[in-house]
Amino acid sequence: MNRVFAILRKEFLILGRDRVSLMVLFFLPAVFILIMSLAMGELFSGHSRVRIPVMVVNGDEGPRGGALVETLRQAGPFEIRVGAAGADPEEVKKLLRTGEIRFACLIRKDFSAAVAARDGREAPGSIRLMMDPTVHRQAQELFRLAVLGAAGKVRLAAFLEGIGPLLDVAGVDRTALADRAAASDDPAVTISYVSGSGEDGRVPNAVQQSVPSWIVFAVFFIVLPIGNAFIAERNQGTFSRLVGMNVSFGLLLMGKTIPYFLVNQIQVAAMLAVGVWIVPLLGGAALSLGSSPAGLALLSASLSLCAIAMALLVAALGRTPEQAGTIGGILNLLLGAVGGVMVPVFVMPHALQVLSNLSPMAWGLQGYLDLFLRGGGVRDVLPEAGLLLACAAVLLGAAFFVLRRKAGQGGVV
Amino acid sequence: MIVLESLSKSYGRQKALDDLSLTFREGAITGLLGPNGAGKTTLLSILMGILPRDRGQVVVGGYDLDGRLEDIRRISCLVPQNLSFYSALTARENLSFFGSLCGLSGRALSERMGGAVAAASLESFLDKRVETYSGGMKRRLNLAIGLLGRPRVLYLDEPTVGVDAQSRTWILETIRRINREDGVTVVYASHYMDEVEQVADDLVILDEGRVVLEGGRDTVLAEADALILDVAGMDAILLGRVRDIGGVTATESAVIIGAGPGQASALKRVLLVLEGTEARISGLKGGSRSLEDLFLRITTRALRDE
Repeated sequence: MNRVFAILRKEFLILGRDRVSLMVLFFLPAVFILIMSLAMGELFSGHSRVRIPVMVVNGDEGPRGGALVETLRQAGPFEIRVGAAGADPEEVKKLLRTGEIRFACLIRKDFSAAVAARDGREAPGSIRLMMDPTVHRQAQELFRLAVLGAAGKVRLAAFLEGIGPLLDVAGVDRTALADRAAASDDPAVTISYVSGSGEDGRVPNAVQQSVPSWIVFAVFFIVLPIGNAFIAERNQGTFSRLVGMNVSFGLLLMGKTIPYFLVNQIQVAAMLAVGVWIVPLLGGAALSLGSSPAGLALLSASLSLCAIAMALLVAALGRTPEQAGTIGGILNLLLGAVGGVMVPVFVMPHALQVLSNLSPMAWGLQGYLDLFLRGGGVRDVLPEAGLLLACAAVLLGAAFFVLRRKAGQGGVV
Repeated sequence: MIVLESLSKSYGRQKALDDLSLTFREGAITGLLGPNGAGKTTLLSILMGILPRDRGQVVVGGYDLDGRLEDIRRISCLVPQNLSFYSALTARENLSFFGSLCGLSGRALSERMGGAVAAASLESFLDKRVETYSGGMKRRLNLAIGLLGRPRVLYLDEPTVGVDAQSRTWILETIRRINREDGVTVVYASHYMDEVEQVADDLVILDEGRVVLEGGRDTVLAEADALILDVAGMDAILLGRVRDIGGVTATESAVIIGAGPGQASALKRVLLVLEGTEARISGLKGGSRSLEDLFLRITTRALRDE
């Protein structure tokens, strides 16, 4: 017991003095969570304060162009700047190139006439959209749908005006109908979020969706300090010295596993704390931890063991700390990319979705999403935790095998 | 005390130890010499059970390496060539850590640490991180860690590499002291002939995994004292006359005059015998009482780039 305590104490002392590793393990993920939660939350939350600058040039000779501009003002996170009717499209392009505006909507002079056309054949190109190619694809789509929606409302209003007398005869309140058509929301449409425990009308915020990703990513960053420490000890002969003092292979591996396991748990707790308390202080939505502390503990423990086992295998395979750092870094990025940390798995092509099933990060991420967004408990995260633990066992076995093999060949642990 | 029988170890096709049979005397300091790649570090690693051997038998302090490895490690300690401790920790923390692994705790640990610190002369730097130490201080700490467990057998692998004269002297004196006072058996592997000459009771020279010379220091140094004349043109009769001279051995191309008080007169007699004959002396070597000369003579001057 004295030996176990000495090894653990040594590891904590060394880790506590390794400022770079502490920075990588604690500070960077926390900052990442803050930035990503606040940045994405602003754009996609229902009460966004972000406004994307858009120029609308209304060249329409009739009344519909103006109606379109007004409708657009109420749609989406856009800051509408109205350009002069005869504005030169080249000037608008210049603004797009400089980034002063991100989108432009040019309404041609025949827009009203086209809307009023009774044969249903509207002239093509009566609305022309221009976009800054550097803007994220989702924002582009948001703008396109906003313009389509606004144009549809204008057409509906024109149609209702056209058939107004008929509606009066039929006893339909055409003012109410027109108001409803022009409204930015439709009470007929309701949204609920289905989770394990039922349905919830609350909108999941960006913090709920982004924190799990960055927790999983950060936990796997343990590969870097473990790899560095392990290989440095091996290369300077410290492991050989310890083996010569009757310290077993198992104790050596345990000496690395327990401290870094605790570090991982502190890491997870710190990141959750950032989501729960720090993000709201900066204006973002607070993270809700779900309703299963036991599920959270089980998942975090399994995830950590899997990450540490992977780190030990990388350390066993690497010859130098630099090599382990490179392998570990690339592995983290690949597993993260495939596992849905950077891009949601459901938007990936089928082949990548299948591949993502092999990423431990995907298992961890699914587990956290189950807990935070689907109201899951221990039973819900058991499959993910089981996979992570099985993976940890396989990786640890492989690390043990590689180390034994190297020792036999003269590499000495 | 330490007995090796037909010990062999290969790395792939390269033989590191080739059927090595050797005995290290109990209570003696044995200098283990050899060029790079001679097999010194491999031998020490095998003796500690850190590296597996291909074949052969090893007995240390009466314990067979097969089956009694834990006992062997309990009584012996390897101070490796690398500075094998934790630079981010202080000397106190390093000594406490390694002491705990030796099974020490509480008062016993404190006492041993105190002894090690005094022996290493690191009192003023005990609570400073080792990464701030000079090379000599690190070497002293490396040795002090090895002494914590009070081993009966101490293997030292290049313990003075890269240190100044003061630290080197301190290390050599410490080794002599623990050998003298505690009867510790020491195997001292080094490239530095002068150090080994100073400290060792016995000498073993390894080359390409084999023992090329072994014996008591004085015996080996007597070999170093021998004069070697390179001679050409000696016929069998002349060779016989030279060999008749006491303390002299000869081959068709060399005459070796052994060390000792009669060396000068033997040399005079050899020269008298050769005078007026067809034999020609083309070179004279040795006689410098230099272990290094002997080492180079035995292991040749060819570079060993491992």
